[in-house]
Amino acid sequence: MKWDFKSGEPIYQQIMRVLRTQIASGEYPPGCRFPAVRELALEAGVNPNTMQRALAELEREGLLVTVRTTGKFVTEDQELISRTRSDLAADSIRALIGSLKNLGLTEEQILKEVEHSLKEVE
Amino acid sequence: MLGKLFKNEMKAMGRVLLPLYAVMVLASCLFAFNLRLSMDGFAKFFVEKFAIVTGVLFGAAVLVVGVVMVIMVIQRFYKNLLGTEGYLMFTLPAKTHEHILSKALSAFLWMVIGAVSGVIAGFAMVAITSNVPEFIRQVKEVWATLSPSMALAPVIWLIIMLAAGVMESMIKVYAAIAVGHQFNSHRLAGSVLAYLGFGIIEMILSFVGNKLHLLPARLLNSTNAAGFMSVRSMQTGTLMALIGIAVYGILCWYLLDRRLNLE
Amino acid sequence: MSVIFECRDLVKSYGNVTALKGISLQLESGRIVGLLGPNGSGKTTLIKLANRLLQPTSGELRIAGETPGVKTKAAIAYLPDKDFLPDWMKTDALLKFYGDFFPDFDRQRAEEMLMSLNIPSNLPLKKMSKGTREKVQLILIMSRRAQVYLLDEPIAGVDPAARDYILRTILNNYEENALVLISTHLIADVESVLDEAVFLKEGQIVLHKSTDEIREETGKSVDEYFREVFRC
Repeated sequence: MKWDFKSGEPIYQQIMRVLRTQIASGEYPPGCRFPAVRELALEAGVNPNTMQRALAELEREGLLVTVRTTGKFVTEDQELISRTRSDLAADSIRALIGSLKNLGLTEEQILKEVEHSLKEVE
Repeated sequence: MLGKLFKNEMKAMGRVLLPLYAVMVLASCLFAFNLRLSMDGFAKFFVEKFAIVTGVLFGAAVLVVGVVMVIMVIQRFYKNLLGTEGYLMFTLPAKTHEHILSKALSAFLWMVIGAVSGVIAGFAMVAITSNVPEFIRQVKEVWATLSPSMALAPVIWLIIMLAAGVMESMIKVYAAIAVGHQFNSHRLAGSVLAYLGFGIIEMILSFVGNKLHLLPARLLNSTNAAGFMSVRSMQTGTLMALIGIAVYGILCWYLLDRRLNLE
Repeated sequence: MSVIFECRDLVKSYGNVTALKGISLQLESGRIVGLLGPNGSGKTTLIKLANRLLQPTSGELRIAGETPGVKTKAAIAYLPDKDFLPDWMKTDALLKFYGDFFPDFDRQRAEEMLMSLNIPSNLPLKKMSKGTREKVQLILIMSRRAQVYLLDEPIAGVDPAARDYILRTILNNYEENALVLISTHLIADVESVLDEAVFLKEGQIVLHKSTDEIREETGKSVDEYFREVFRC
């Protein structure tokens, strides 16, 4: 079983986060056909009902679109995708800021550390 | 479903019995052949020794067939229905009586096949050791002298009685195993005790029956004027066996259907 | 989805030991349900009752509206927690056996799965390793297009690779509209595949909820919550 699930959060929500990231990062490009429920469920090692629920929720968010009988596709709405991307980014940044503040860093220090790290990565 | 269970059971038993029957027939032929050679005075010493060996082999094969048959009847029931294989058998879409019947019928058919191959072995022996046309002539002669005095009815009734008796003893063994299965431990010992218990009950019943003259004496007199077993007594025997089949069969069915408890 | 497995006030006693103390439970088709509890909590007794390998002391149990019998046996694919197949049988004889007795057996599917494991068709069970034997049993059961799958401890005592194979085979092959009931005491290994969890404790149901609900309400995984409920 490939995917690792954390405790205490419904699995379908954890699946949604993984799939949202995959769509935002372009792993599943806009307009691309999404794998079948059973296939995805098998890959994740979860119950098809759980996967179905995650996909239904993503569809409600508009990230996935069902085309009659041919299956599910990734939305071609670029704006929605980039909004999803910045939402995900904001989540990570918020988490990062939280933990750095716990370390006792001020906002200025945080900015400095981030800039420093970015340069190192380059 | 009975047909499928029966077919499956025939296969499972045949796996062991068929080679055994083949050995029996083969051993009889070998034995007879050597006997024939030694009678004809070929290489006397060697052949005589070999005839003894094959003779023992044949005798042993007959004995083994008998013993294996009894073991098979017990083991196919005990292991296949009440061991872990019971988890498979009792979850097939079949009724309990179909399981019992398929076991009894296929064991019975294999006994008949065993008896037939025994007869074939016997004939083969005679045919090889004696002069074949002479043998056939003798058989015809014996038949000619016997047939006028021998009625067909007693023979048929004898066969029916024997068949019913064999069936009854098998169902009785099954019922004893099913009773033993009710115990939480020492199930095999429980089965043996149950079997002995059945015997004691039967003895008491027949003793009481005799004392009270429940059956008219004319049904029980065992020989007729000519000294053969009377048809009437064989009919009574058949009836007794059928009653036994019914009683033990119902007991066995009840225990397997309502009080099954696989380990 | 409709209720396919239902018991009401189900009691089973062995002599003076009561294994099930009045269980009422409704399970719907199309769900994968975990029957979770420590050893001796009554899981196997419940599954045996559903297979008519035992008779209830009182109460009733219905599968697709029928009390256990020939009809329900035809609808249930049951994997016992024992070596239940005659060990002298070869795989091709087993395929024939299952095809003969179960009209819903998909022989081709079973053959494909055996082939992908490189199990020869003329190999008797007793010549196989324990792990292979267990896989053959699972393949035969999961190749049935059954209405109810009752799997008793399918992953007990197997290594992680075999466990993955087993769970994958179950997910890959069960009928979409069937009920899958998996009994186990190893919750962490199966919880991601479960829709619902039934906690069984000393012969009584202490909880029956969807796994998502358990996670949401308790903030714990089903496994963590189980440990809490069953802490001694």
